[in-house]
Amino acid sequence: MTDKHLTCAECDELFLEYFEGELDDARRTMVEAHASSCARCQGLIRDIREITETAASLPELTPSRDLWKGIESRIESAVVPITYRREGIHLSRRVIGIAAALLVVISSSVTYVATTKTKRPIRVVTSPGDFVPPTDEIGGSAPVVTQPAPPSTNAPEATSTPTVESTTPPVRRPSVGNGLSGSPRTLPVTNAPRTAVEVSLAPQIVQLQQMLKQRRDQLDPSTIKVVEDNLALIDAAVKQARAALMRDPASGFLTEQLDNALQKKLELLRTVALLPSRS
Amino acid sequence: MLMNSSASHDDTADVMLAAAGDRRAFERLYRTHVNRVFSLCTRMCGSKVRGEELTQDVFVRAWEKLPQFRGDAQFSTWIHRVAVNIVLTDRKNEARTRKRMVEDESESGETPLQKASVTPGYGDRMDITAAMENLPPGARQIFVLHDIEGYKHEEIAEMCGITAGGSKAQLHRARLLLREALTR
Repeated sequence: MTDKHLTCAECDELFLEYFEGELDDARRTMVEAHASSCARCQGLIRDIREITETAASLPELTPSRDLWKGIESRIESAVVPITYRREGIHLSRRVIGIAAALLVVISSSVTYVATTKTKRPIRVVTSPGDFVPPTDEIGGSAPVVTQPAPPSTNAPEATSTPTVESTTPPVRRPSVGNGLSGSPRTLPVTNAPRTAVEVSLAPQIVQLQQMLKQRRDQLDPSTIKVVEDNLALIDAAVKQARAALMRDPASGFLTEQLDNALQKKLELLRTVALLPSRS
Repeated sequence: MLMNSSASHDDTADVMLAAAGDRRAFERLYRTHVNRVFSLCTRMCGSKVRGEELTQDVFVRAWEKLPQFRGDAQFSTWIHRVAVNIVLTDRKNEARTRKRMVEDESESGETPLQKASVTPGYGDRMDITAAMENLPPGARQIFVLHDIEGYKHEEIAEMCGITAGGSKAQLHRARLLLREALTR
């Protein structure tokens, strides 16, 4: 095959793969052999290479004007100005309080009904790369479960959280020991599976909670009190939904309740992050 | 995908702040990435004026979507993807775009080619920029995404809703048309 001499038309057929580097050695050699004695094809190869090199080195363009003002005016309407927020702070507290209380009441009642009726597959994120902070950093406290001890008697005693292989998808563990797997140890759950929403919200919640901690001194104590009371209510709802999910991991409804509670928490934390400092 | 110096900039803190509503942090992100986003928009749509409008759309969309940005990719990669989607969506309304370009042309007396050209003095670069404007929209977008922005055919195929083979064919066609224009 390497002895065959290509025509220009045959080369044209091969040029697409040639420039993509997809020709095998034999056909690439044939194209290059033809080009070495054909000014037309040689010129084409040279020109295309020049075009791709020039394209790759094109400089960045700069807008003729500052576009930020236009962008800022468009995004401004989506965010409540700080001055307005200060004036309406009492209303906001009431609304937040009512919303949080409603959330607790609704989730309590529907949790009871749902745990006995709903059987839908739970949405669980199993990607090992997902960032999952400890449960109590996101909301609610960690339920207690049992976990079998490691089989090796020489293994060092676990002192804090259980070790989970990063490549193993998390599996919801039973809430009580079954007495069949040696001496069970009681450990807090920090590796329980999370819903997709929970995993995506967790880093933001943690970040905003840290921000809130740093801002404690800048905010009015009564504001802090209202915020913390409401966070406690939402955390209670999160805890309740999570506990119910431990009993009924297949409930899509409970998963939704947990997601909604976490969304509420994130919204509240975001609101607090934007509150003005006390004068 | 190719990464330039701005892409290696660590935006993590500003991204977190902006996602929580901090407009100053978002403005810093804008300043870091505006040229790259603007270059992409202008080259893909073929008009500097429209490129500026699309750039604004990209950052407004980014502001809206930022709370959902999970940090799996770099912010530069993410906003670049937002920009590509905005331009591709914009292309669906070809008639409106064409009308706008004609209006712009008649208002300023400049051709779209002149508006999109970079600073004179680049020689071949200016020629290729001008020649790109005359490419069919589909071929131009794939040429920009592959040869300028460094996307792979598989990525382009996914974004444009075509096959990788289709992307290769369009790219080859674009290169041949450019050569024809440049050697005319």
